[in-house]
Amino acid sequence: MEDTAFQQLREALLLYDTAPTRFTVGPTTNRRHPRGWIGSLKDMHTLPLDLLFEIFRHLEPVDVLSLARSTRDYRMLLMSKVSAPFWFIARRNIVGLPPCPTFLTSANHAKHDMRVHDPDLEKFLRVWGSTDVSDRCAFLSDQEKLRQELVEFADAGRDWAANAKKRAAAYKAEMQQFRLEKVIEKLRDLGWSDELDRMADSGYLQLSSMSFVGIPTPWNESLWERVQQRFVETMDHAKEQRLRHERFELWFGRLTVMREAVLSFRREFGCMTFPQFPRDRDFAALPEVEQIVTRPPEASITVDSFSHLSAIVPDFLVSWEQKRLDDLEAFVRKDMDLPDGVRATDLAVTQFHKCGMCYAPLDLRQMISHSCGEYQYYWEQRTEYEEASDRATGSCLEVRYRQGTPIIRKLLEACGQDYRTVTAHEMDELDPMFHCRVCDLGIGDVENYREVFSWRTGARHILRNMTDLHDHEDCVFEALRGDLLMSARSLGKAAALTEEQEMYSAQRNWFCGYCVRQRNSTHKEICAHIHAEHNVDRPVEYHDLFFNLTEPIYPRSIFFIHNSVTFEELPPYYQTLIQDGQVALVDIPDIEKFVQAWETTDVNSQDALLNAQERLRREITEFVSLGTFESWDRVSERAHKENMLSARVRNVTARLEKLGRGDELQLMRRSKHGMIPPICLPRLQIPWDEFVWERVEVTVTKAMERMKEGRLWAQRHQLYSRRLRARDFAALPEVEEIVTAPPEVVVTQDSFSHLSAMIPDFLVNWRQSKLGTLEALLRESVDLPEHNSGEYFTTIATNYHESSEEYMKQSQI
Amino acid sequence: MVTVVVSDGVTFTMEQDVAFQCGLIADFAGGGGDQEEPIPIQAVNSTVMRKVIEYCEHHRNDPPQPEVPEGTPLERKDRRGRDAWDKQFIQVEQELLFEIILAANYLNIKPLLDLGCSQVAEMMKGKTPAEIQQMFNIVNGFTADEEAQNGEGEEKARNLNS
Repeated sequence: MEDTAFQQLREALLLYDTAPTRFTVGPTTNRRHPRGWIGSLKDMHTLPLDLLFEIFRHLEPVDVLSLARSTRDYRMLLMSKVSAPFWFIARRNIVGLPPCPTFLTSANHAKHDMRVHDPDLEKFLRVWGSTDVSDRCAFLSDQEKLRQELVEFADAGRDWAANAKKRAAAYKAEMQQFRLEKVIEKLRDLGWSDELDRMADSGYLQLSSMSFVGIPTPWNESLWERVQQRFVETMDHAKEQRLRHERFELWFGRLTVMREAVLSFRREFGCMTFPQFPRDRDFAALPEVEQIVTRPPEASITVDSFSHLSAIVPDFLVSWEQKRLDDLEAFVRKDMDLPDGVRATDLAVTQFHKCGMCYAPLDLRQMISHSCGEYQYYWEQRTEYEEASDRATGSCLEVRYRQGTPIIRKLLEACGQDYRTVTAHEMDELDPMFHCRVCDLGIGDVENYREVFSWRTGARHILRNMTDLHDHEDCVFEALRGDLLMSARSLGKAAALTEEQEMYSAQRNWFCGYCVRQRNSTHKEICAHIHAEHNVDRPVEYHDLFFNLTEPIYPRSIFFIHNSVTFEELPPYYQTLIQDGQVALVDIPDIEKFVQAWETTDVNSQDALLNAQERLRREITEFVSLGTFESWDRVSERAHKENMLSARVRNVTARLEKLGRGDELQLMRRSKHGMIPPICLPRLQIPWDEFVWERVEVTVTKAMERMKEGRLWAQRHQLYSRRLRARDFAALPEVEEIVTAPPEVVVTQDSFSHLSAMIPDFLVNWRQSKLGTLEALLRESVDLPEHNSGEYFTTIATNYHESSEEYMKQSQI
Repeated sequence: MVTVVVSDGVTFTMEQDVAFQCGLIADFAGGGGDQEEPIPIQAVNSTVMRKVIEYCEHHRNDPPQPEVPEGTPLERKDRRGRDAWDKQFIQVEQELLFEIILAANYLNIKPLLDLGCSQVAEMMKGKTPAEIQQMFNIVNGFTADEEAQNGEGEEKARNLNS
């Protein structure tokens, strides 16, 4: 009985925690600026009482409450018990409002404030203390009922608030739709029917977004008269926007036609040098073109409408190119202190730059018409026509370039030239050759891969790979001298022999004559594109597709490869080779020997030597062309990593063997985990040389020690686990002695047979020690008397043992 | 035709269907034909009577209003009962508004009485006690205890503390 009462008391006290606080719907009453005209109801008190009651019938509870708090008379009237019907009617005026519960007064109910029922804890306890024990249950039962009622009322209140919100939203939407229809009706009366019909498809978005339409109140004629002008302005603006859009569409279509005309000009005047040809946007900027495009809508504009402009194209080409060159001159002179009289675009140092958007290395000619600019738009349009031009044709003027001058300067200084005076032509005459110290690859101590560049390919190489390694204050290029320079030049000439033959098919310099954006593709790809997109069965060169002669053809890279590199080891290098063209000439068995052979043989033998190299080159090219680029790249990357890894494994193994760890390595190779990969994996892309080995030697040695320990531990674990079975017996010193015998000792079941003599004593001791442990464990948490010790637990343990045996037997049955 | 004389001696003649919207006049006329003798209406002056007649003429062709069941929430009644014209019609000075209410009550025009009362109620809706006091043009006559009982003091104190 007492427990039940206690439980009820607990639940009753929970009421203090679980009582919902407040749900508020309706206007807030904390306003700094009161609304309502002063004195606008001052005569209300003159009305007879029955009329006052008529008015009160239209109020809501919160309004009745406010009225009751406004004057003493109304307070006396509305707060008296006789006014209960008013509160009832007022509550009924709100749809779905939950009825006033018994624990709330009408006024408190009107406030929607549940906190008024915050129970007084002291009062509760006082009542509790003064109540007879027999009445406490009834008291608690009352409290529980109260709590239930409170919770139910709060739930009903929440539901009502949610529904009221939905109703308010629906009402608001209905009113807004009504206001929108009314506004449209009024605007039609004002003569905007035509414009409104055009706006219907968009759902009158311009009108419905205006604040006047969004007000969820009934239509007010006087307010409309005040805001009418604003709507007229909106309609004016909408009409202007629509006309602007129609003009844009018209001009956009005409400019598209103009692009076809420009394509015909391009064929007529400058197809062979297409990238130097002005772009569509440049033509669109011509006043003559603008005059045609902006003719009235009824004028029909076809390609023929632009044909008479072909007369002005030659002059335009000259002036356009001159302007581009002047722009380039200004660009390369920026940040450079050049002497007067020197044309900056002729200098070698200004020949190469980088696109600020695609980061492609570009030479000056390419910069005039680099494709990154073609799809840019001017977002800050100045006129409607320029906006339409930008959208229709794209702009080519807003690309920002990164100057390559500081880097090229180092390259020129590496071969002893003054970058301020030496021209590109002079550099071509000098034809220096370099190799990049950063990119030279080697295996072990031997450097057996070296890429050789001319000054142009070198500049392109460093602009393409502008990494921290290359962008160093010291020049990474080393100029070749003496015999190496001579042999590199000879190889370059040999490579050039085959370039011209393959130029049409292999070079990605072809572009489509119909859609000039399809470019930088091979002959085959462009032919396939023209066939598929433009329905031309047999594309004709220089009529349907064109070769971009202004795209510089870089001499192919030349590679010195040491003869210790086998053919199987070559694939990893192809990634680099592909990026810079294809393999020009490979397999220089020994540079010095080759140069010696080259110089000592006569011209016929030199040809034979070159032919042999050429055969090998073709063999490698075929090997490369076996797969597509994508699959080849993946294969190549994996092969490269595997190759680097195997080279590193060989390197590390050799060094460890020198350190006298050969036997250990042999054992590790037999284990399933191997040993070298974990050590060699970090920074796989960097070849190990002596310097790297010095730094990692300690780490590798420590790793060896750890792995040795691990291997021995695993061996012991395997051995001991075979010998051991029972954990408690394993703790016996006698057992340990047998188990930890050296591996060569054969341990069988018989090895333990002599231990049977000591089993009875061991059992007694074992049981005693287990019980002691159990008792100590229990005494930690339970305060037991001293005398209540071992025997008690012994009995428990025995009983438990017996019952568990019984259970086992039953379960077996 | 029905003729009425109001308190300031002005005579109004109106058609029967207009006049019979006033329960009082209908009772006077006894539901019969034309009433030749003017009906004296001493509790209404000519200004108010013009407004009343304007209202009755506007609603002369209205179908008979279904009886709104007692307890129908205001929201629904309002949407059905008060159209835009009524709202415009009842936007009058306070003095005239109360006179219209009195006249509607006197003449027994239930819709007009509802319109006037709901207009007054509308003015009070959502207002705080202080705002209502301003509309009544009175100063706060409560004692401090009464103020505290009103809960306003408590509210203010809470606002100050927060």
